[in-house]
Amino acid sequence: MKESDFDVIVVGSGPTGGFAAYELARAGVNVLLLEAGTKVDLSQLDTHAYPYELPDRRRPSPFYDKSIGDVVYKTTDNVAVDRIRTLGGRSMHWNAVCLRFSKDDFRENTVNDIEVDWPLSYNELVPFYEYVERTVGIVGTRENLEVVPDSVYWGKPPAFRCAEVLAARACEKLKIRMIPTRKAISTKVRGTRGACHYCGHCMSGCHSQSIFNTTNALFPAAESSGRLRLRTNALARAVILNEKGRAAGVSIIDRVTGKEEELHAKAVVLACGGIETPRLLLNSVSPQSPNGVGNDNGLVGRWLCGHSKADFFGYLEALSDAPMTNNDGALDHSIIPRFARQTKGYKGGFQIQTQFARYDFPHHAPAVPGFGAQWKAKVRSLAPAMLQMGSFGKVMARFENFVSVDKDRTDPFGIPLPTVQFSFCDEDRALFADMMAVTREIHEMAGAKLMFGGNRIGGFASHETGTCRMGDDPKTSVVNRWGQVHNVPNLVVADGSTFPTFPEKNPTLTLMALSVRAARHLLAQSRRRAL
Amino acid sequence: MEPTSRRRALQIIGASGALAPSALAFRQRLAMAGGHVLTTAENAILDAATERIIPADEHSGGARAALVAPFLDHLLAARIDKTKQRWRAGLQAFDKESRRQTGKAFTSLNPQAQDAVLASLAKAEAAPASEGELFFVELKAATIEAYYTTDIGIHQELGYVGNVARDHFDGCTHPEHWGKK
Repeated sequence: MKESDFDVIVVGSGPTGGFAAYELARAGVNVLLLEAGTKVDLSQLDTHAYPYELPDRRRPSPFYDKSIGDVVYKTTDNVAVDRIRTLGGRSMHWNAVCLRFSKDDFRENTVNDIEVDWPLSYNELVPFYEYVERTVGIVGTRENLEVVPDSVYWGKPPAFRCAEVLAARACEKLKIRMIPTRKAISTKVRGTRGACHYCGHCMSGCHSQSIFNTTNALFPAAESSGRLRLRTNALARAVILNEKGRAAGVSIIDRVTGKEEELHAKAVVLACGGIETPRLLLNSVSPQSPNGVGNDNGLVGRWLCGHSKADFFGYLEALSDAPMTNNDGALDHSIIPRFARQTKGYKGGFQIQTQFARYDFPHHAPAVPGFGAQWKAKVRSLAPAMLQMGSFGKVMARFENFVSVDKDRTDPFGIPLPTVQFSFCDEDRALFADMMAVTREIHEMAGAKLMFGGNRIGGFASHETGTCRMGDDPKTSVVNRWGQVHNVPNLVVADGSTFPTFPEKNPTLTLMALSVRAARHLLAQSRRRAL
Repeated sequence: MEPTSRRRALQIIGASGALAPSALAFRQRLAMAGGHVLTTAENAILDAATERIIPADEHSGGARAALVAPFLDHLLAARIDKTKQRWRAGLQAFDKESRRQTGKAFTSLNPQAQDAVLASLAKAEAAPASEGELFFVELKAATIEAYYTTDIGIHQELGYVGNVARDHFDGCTHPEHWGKK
């Protein structure tokens, strides 16, 4: 098959590009999936090596390909965006926590009088949530909570460790809810997915493929349909429009040959994430689109949003000097879902994940004062007592925060780099302060003595959203409720760029559900020849 | 299918988890066969200071046994000039402080006297100001990073028992943690 024979080009092979390509290929559409990065083989990862067996004791991170270039930051806040570039995208390097957004997360304006409502409701997304949950496989427990609706589960999550048990009891006393985690991992052998072996290296690349990633769980099935072709090292430079203003294809740079090529298709799906998708649209400059594709209203890149985050450590008296046991597990086994105190000057919420720090290193050692034999013994006695909490706070989606491109600064291929202009607002800071206050209260109630972390608000925890806002009105948004770029209906944004607002929850489950929904709508429209 | 997958996981881990101590020491030496920047005299201060920060005790070897000083020297070789200068000046500051307090070079002091010099710098750990105080904080962090990433630090000292393939995860098995007798 020639490349000109493809019906749809999908740009980006992460959770959203992966699902869009999988959906379309299995429906009989010829799909070309472009990935700027390369395929990383599991043998490159050395996941189970100890630090002393690695060069300079650093774990290799082949997912982070330097060719992606820098980001120009215009901010005084401690924020960073994720620059992963590999086949499988962020599904290769994630903690796999999967939470549904709640009904209220889709209507912040109606419920909380902030931001905007989404142009779709929770109920409209439920069938897609269910479909994605069955496909990726989620371990979890039924809790019947409004703030984080139950998913469809294929197994039970791993048990709480000692520190999580003590934290859960502290939460109970504080009337804070702590529940078992919900993760896209397999605890049994299922097809190409091996059983979790509880080594705690989920984030460094899972050797048994127990964690969901697109390369293992979606692409083989889609490729066997004969309808999907993967092309790595294909760096999208611009979306091409035809004379009617419709998407005609993608101009790419082949990173191996260094040559630019034009690839044509009947429709294009963008799934490059909250930074790279607006960068691609803004770099798609032509006489028809002098401000970039989809950017006639100047809104591409606006409302950049992400989580505020902090890591907090405490060491519990009840566990000091306990015999060392194997606590690795599957990283965090518990979660404190959305919590908020409305009297503290903010209207969003925050959530806390526990125990995802590694157990083979004493994170507390620098915080234990002094040095020498006594200090060493103290560090040893506290090692089994770690209670770590990592929190995500809601950040307000604000017009003033945006991604643009810097024509004077380019990546190694001459493509203008993204610029990130961002600041946290007072409400973000109030929420962060309370998030840390609650984290500290839980630790104190659980009997922590030594505590540290969370001194300064930071972002974005690899969760960048909002930069191609979804809405019904083309004057105030970039894409419609199906992810189609206003006025370019055969160009779809399938990633988290479309989130009009972003709650405190991990975004991946929701953005995969949106991607499937967008792909099916594109398919239905093309079958009706509505494009 | 299950047994095969489990065996594979064990093979993966077995490949890296069970090296003999001599092989470990060899691999550690090999891993730092790159450059070195500190002089013999500077290295002697670094070696003495790191061993006092994490000394050998009845429980496990200390920084010297874990080859902390040569590893830090090796890492320093790859850093920018400003960092190299800061480390050199920091080590000299330790020596100056020693001469000011005792009239002797840091490396010529016995371990107890070296502890006294370091303790005077560690006092201000929460808010370091002088060159020596600032470098103590930096060196302590670097010593921690270097020591607890060795087999001595991870296995002998901390007694870490993870990084193995398991077919189940029990979690907490202590009724008292659940508030039950």
